Amino acid sequence: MKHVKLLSFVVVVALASLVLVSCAPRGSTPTVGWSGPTFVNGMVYVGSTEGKILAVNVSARSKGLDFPSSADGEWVYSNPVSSGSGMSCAQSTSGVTIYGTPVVVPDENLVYIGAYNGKVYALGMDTGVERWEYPKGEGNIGAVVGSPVVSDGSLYVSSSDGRIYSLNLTYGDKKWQSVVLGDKLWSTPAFGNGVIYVSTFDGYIYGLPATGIFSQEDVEASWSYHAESGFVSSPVVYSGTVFCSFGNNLYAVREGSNSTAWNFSGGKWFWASPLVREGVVYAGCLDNYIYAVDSQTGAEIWSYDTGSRIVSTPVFAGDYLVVASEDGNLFVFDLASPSGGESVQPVKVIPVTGDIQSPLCFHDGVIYLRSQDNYLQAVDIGEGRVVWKLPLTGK
Amino acid sequence: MAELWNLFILDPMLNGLVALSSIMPREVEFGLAIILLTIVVRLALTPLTLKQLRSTLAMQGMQPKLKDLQKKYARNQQKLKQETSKLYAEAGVNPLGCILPMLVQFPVWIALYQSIIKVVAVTPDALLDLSQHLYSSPLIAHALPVNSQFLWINLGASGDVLLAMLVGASMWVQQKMTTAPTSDPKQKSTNDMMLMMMPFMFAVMSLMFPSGLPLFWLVSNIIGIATQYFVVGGWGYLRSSSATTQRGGSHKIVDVVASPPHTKASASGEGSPWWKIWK
Repeated sequence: MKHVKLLSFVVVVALASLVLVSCAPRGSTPTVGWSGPTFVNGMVYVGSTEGKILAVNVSARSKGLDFPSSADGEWVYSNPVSSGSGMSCAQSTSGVTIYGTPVVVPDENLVYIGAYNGKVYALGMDTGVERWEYPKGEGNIGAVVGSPVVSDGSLYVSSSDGRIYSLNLTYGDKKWQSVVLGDKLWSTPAFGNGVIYVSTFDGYIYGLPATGIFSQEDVEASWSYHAESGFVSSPVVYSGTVFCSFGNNLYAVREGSNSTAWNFSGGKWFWASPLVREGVVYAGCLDNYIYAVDSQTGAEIWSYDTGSRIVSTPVFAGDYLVVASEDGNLFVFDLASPSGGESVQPVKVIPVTGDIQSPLCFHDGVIYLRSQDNYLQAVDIGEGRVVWKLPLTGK
Repeated sequence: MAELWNLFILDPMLNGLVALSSIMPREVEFGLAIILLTIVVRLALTPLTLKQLRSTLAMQGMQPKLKDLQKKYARNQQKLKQETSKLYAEAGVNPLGCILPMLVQFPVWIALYQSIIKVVAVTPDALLDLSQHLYSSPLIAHALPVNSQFLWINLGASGDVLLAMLVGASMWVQQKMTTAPTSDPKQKSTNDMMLMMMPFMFAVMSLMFPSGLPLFWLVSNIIGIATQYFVVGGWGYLRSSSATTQRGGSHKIVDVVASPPHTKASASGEGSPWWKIWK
């Protein structure tokens, strides 16, 4: 009897530990998203780790006013819907997770954002009041991970259900939805010459007519490229070439071609989207390195070890390239006069608080970033320091 | 501690799972990889499993004797301890023999659970986390993303009712095979509760977790049933209970079970299983 009790106890402990281990962060990563900031007309729009959308007045923050200062046009939008998948502790989250960066269209006076609950929202730019949501009511599309994109008077959203959705900017009505393009679309589409470029989770890049992809024939008639592995960053189009990363490789594919122009291998995945300027591709890698690669040949020009993974998409800041390492350092590289040949060194390293996974935003000498500890931080590159930071827990 | 766990246990298992996926047919790669890895792990743990199984059976067989001792020495705990130890020694049974092997297996099971959850990577955060655990090998890089569809099951999604029922049923069968009938009402109540609770809990958990885990549990249960069938010989108490019902009572079995084997060979499960006596 004693041993049966002991055995029962062991079994119960084992089950409890199993549940705990599986639900704990090590077993299942909590979803907090990596929404980046957008700067428009003196305001920064950003999604918080709690799934709120905030409008932050840069001037009011510099003065240290209470947040939100409605007199300065600041607001907080809390999404009423909770996300997650049923009972699964492995997937659920308490708020609506936001991975994309808000897109602002001043002509429409609206801020657009896609959320992981499979909804697209349009909020009043000045008020934060919800103007429309898509789909309306209880329905939803697949989880939205990439940022929305505005092109030719339409809003384009990629979804985890493998489709692209084209929406009316003013009312949120659906213009068209594509056929299923792939397993998941977790990236942000890119545009060029009336073509929408999409990278899929299972390793395809499609160049599709932005006027609509209504059938499988439309897809088959369009240009596509298939890489040997999946997991993709968002594609970038530059001078007739599409740059995109799949797994450990950064690919360059000429538009219309089915073969790879070149590919460049990193030590780990290229998670962040690449940037291209003046014939050089800059790509941050999870192997801690930022690589500068010749856009024509794929030859490495220089690389730099930041000491931590690069998850966040870097940004150009005038003549500078600013790269964030995940452990909270900003590396500023002078692109106008790079020194050191292949061993280029940053001109500044600026520490911030918290991990950085969100894309960076630059305006007028200041880098805006949302750290994973849920702060919006403004970093003055000239001064080399954080000039203000705001907890994004405002009500 | 977490780093050591990842370095020596989780990461090798996770990468093994991904590597196995890469050599499977694309349509069923991840499902087959889970099944194959489960078989490999179960085979590696076979000595421990057998030890646990034999100890469990031997302990069950000794229960009537132990009960007699408890009655006999109810007022002398010291003597009871001595006699109990003597009984164990005579039968060549280690009371911890059925618990220690189970404890040793837990880390392996937990690592396997974690591996499946991480490789499925249902959220972007989970995918980013997965990248930290992968080895820098083209074999691994090209295997991702894994195809999470297997037969009717989406291994990355939760809530597959049929799979949950299969997990519960297979676990019930496996437990039933080794749960000895008893005349003691208290013991019977405990046994009945365990027999129902465990399959029920696992069935519920199967609905909560990505289906890769219930698939692992199902395969693991089937292997467990097969092991018990071939190693111990037959369906054990699963058939005995139905035979009991057909014979119209439990007294016969109780009487037979109340006379457990006392020889070292049979107590360790090496001789004929005692339930075969009344078969």
